Amino acid sequence: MKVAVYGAGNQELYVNKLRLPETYGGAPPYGGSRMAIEFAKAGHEVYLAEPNRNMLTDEMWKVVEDAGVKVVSDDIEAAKNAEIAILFTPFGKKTFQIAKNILPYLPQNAVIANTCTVSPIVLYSMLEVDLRTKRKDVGITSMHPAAVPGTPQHGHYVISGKATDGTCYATEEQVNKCVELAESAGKKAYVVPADVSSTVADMGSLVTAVALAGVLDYYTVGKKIINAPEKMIEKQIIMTLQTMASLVETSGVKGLLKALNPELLIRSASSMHLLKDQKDLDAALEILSNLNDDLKKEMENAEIKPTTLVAAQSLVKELETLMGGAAAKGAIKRSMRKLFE
Amino acid sequence: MIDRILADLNRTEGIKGSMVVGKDGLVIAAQLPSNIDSELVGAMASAAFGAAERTAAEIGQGKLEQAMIESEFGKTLMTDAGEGILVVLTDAKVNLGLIRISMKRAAEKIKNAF
Repeated sequence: MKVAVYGAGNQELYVNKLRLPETYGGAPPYGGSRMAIEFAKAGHEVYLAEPNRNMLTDEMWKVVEDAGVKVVSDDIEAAKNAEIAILFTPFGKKTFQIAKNILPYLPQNAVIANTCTVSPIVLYSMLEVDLRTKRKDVGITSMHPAAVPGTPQHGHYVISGKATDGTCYATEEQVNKCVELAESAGKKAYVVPADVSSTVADMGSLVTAVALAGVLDYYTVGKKIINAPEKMIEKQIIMTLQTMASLVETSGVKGLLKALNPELLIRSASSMHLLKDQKDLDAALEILSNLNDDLKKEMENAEIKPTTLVAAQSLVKELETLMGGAAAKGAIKRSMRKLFE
Repeated sequence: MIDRILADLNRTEGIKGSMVVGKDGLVIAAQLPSNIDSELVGAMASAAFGAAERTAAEIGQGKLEQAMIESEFGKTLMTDAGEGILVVLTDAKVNLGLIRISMKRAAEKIKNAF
């Protein structure tokens, strides 16, 4: 398989600031260059596009080149040979710019895969005009390492498949190619809906894990102890998550904190300690009881901005009824893009 | 290709500008006066066309052929162009028949260009 990896990875960050060799283990180079090394060792023809030679030391470049990786400084040269183009590039605008630049030069049916710096849905929306007119053959997915490549924690890739609304940003064949590439490098491949991939693979997976534990705790208590109807439990979960998400969107974390009032929340949530073993609730109550003074001060000064608490799926149905599926989809896409702009 | 179709269309007397947007409002091509935000107008056109389409269907008037917004200083005409919507802005007093014929021809060409 012909693969291009864009971006060698910031070794100054990995080695000197995060001190990965000491804290996580593994050996430099980390990041995109390590991905390139692993794919080359798996027998693929790999290009690593990195315009900044200073990203790696000479010794590290030697490791890369000895593995059989072709290092180039020209993004387009790498694109011409890429069945899979993996963007391990800086967060945001730079990544979109590189993707736009390489798109016309990619071979027929190539696939662009994001890593950790942008959601595949947002990447698609930035390239959408060209993808819908000039390059309908090119797919968008992810090859998200969900850990720093080169550390022992990196044993998997999160690959984006069909989105939860049924939209395919890449063909099944393109997704399978990514799975094949991941597995050939000895990694487990998780194919998840494209619009879910960031939630389970990005740094925000910390929030996902803790919130999911809370959801499951309430679900268990609600079912086993309170004997509440499942629909009622689910509606309360929806209300809670929607409220928190909407407040973060309008007022930030500090505004959320102010609106939820930790002191009150501790009193209310303590009464939901109905099982002997509710470790997540114990931990949450302890954390909320011991907020540091700086955070408390910031909370006091925070502003709760006007917020519309809306059940998103119900709103989508209403939009579809009023203006049809395509126009509603466009409105949703634009609002999502605005969130990330 | 679509740009050329719009350029030809814009030569019709009374037309101030035109654009092609996807049914979801994505701007495919636009040749509009410089003071108009094409992305915003594209999104609005898709919402207006979609709502008109839904209304026509709901009251049993079948498939929507064209929608028009008639305002003090001009008209906005929207017509189905396959995967997209052809949007045309005109002066207030125009020969609508001529413009409709031009739009119909352009829409056919746009359908083939997608």
